[in-house]
Amino acid sequence: MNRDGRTQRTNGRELRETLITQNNSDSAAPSRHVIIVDDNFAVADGLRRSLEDHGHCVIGMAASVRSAKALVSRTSCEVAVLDIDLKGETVIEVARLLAKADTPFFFVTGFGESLVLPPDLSDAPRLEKPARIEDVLRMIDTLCAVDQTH
Amino acid sequence: MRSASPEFSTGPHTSDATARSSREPRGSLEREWLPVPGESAIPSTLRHRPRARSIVLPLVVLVPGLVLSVMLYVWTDNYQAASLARDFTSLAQEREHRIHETISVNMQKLLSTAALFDASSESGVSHSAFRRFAGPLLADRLGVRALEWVPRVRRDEKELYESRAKLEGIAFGIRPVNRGQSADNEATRDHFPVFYIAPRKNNEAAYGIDLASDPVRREALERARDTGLPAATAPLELVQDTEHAKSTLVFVPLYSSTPKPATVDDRRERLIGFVLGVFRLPDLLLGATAYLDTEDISVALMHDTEVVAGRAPDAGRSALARAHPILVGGRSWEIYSAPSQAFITARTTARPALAMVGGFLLTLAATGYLYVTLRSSEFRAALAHSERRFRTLVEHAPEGILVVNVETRSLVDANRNACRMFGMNRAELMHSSLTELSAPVQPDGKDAVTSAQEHIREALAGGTPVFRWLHIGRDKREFPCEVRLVRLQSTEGPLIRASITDISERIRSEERQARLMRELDHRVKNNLATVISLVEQSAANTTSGEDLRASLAGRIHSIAIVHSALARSHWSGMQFRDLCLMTLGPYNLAGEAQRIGIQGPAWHLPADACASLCMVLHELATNAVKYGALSAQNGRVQLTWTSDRDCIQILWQETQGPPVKEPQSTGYGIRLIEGMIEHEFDGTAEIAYPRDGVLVRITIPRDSAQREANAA
Repeated sequence: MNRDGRTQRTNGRELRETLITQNNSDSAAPSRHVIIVDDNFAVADGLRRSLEDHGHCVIGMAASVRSAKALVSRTSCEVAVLDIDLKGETVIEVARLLAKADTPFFFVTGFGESLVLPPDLSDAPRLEKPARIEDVLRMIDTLCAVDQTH
Repeated sequence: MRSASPEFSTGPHTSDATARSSREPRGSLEREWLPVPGESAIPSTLRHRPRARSIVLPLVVLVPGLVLSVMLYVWTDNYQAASLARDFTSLAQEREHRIHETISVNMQKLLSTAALFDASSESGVSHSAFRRFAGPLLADRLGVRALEWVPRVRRDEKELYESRAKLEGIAFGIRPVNRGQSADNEATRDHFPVFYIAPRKNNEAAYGIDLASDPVRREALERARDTGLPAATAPLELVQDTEHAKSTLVFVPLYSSTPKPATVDDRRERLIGFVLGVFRLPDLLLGATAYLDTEDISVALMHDTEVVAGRAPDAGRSALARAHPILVGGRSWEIYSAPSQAFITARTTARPALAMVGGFLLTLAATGYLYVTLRSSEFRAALAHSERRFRTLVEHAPEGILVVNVETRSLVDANRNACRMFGMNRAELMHSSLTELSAPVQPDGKDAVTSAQEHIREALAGGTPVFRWLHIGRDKREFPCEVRLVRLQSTEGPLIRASITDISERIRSEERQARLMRELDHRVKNNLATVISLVEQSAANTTSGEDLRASLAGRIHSIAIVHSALARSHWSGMQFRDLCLMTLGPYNLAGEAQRIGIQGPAWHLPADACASLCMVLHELATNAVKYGALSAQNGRVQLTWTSDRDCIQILWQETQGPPVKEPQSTGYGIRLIEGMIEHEFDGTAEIAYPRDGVLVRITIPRDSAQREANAA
């Protein structure tokens, strides 16, 4: 049993590394400084690991609006991944702060289409929770690329 | 019948009832539900019965009215008949009187003539003197047509009288009335020849006729002789009368002694002759009624049953006809009078019939009017009753009801619920305008006036629009409503009824439902994201497939139990103690002493904190089972938490386990514990590894532990 499990894991990791290598080599996506705002540690930590596995640098994580705002003003990130609902608070203030600094961001939320954001944020890109890592990576690349063309 | 449905026959009491109810299930149901009609529980004012009054009262008028009309007819007709009879009687009596008078006058003439003879000697009255005396009496020619002197001629005096006649210049020869017919006692009796006649003209043929030769004349003659009174013959036709009219001869006897003899024998002996009056009856009648209108009444003179003068009566033609008896010359006569048809017609009017018809019409009109009036009042009563019933329906309807006159743009009616909804009394509500009662902008995004016009137009076209509307009450508070419009039949102009239901509560409920659904959706997705993350991280940190399976199952299970517990509490959170019991309960194996002790004050966790803390406890317990106190037979865990002003401290202390060695590397479980506490709660998790048991100290700032509660 142990042997089998190990073999499986090894195969999985190899496969993923292959994919990352391909991804990196094909699109030659540059490494980005990312901050993650999510009140769920498991999710935030999982995303951090995945992003780091794909060459990005997660420079901070926050679970509350207060700590997220502190994080945004303290660090200079290139892109932010925002969960909308933070233990009853909304991430809107953080998003506005980022928009003011022209820092690209996108939402990853379990609220789906039902949540109506204020008009100034209604055009912000969104991903549905649970988000696939491929979609998150593509979103980071797209936003940063657009940001650079500006 | 009773045993027909054995499944219902549970007992002697119920079998009767069920048998009845199976026959008439509805009836018995209604008997149970509703009070029995006629019971005093039902006030009589709630009833409206059509009254028999509207039939009976008109009949009470109709029947006596018709009877009175008929009585009026009978009475008027009787009055008219009586009046007719009175008129007729008066006229008839007048004629009778005149006839009496005429007869009486003429009898006087006869008696006067007799007195002339009485006053003279036997041969004292000459023919010419007789004529001179009688002439003026006969001048009027009405009544006595002729006066005659009829002497008694004894058998031996016959020649004497014939010679005397010659002397007087009268062509005279005693002869019987009917020539060639000789009387039976011709030879033995006296003669009574007509000797003098006045007037002479046309009467010559009568000279010398022996009146005793004819039985009719002789009867009267002998009666006059014997009684000494005037006697009349039965009606007869005179020989000289060419018109064949009936006449009667009245004999007045004259005796040789005055006063007249007392006995019949004496009278027979002393008789000297008769003064004879010839009454031509038609002339008498004519004379009596000369100046009277003969059109009205027909008058006839009758003897026995024979009409001797005047018009013959039509037998049985009129009930009014009367016969008046008179006695003339010892004979009974009758004056018969009958009204003419013209007389009856002139006095018979259509008045009784008209009165009756008028009575009928009046009665019918009164009856009809009464009936119509009563029926209409009954109808009005029924209408009022129905009005009250519908008023109750409207008044106690669960919705607020407003009735709007579209033309005058005013409220014409409102029920109690409407008043309650708008917080106004009826008068205030009725004086409010629709604009005052509606929010300026309506749920469909249009302004109130435009939106209302659209809906009202639809209702006027016969539709029944149902829509949401924001109303404003007296307190200026807006409340969402569902409004149904319908057009009402009316003569006062186009009316619209609005049935208004306050749906604030429904909307709140719907919103709550939607929020719960969103919440659930959100949590499910968060849970799935957590699960995916756990799978990935667990896989990256576990070397054994069995370990991976076990750790994953435990972690996902902890998510599951928190989810179901939170769902039960509608995501309002739970007590930390309950969370501990729920999470750690499975590690207290049955039959063993409490291996995990739990102690701490009440601490209500917000929903969002539950999942993480559950996961933390789960990881601690798993670690303890794997490496710590719970892996040994007597190992124990003491979980305590304390709370002060700033933070909450949780202490996990393992005892009596195997000797503790600090691990070389931190596993995913430890990282989850530290990460969750630090990341999600801004707290700290310190894990110490003293020899006698692992010691975990978790500190959470109070404000972050209750963040959600504050935010909510």
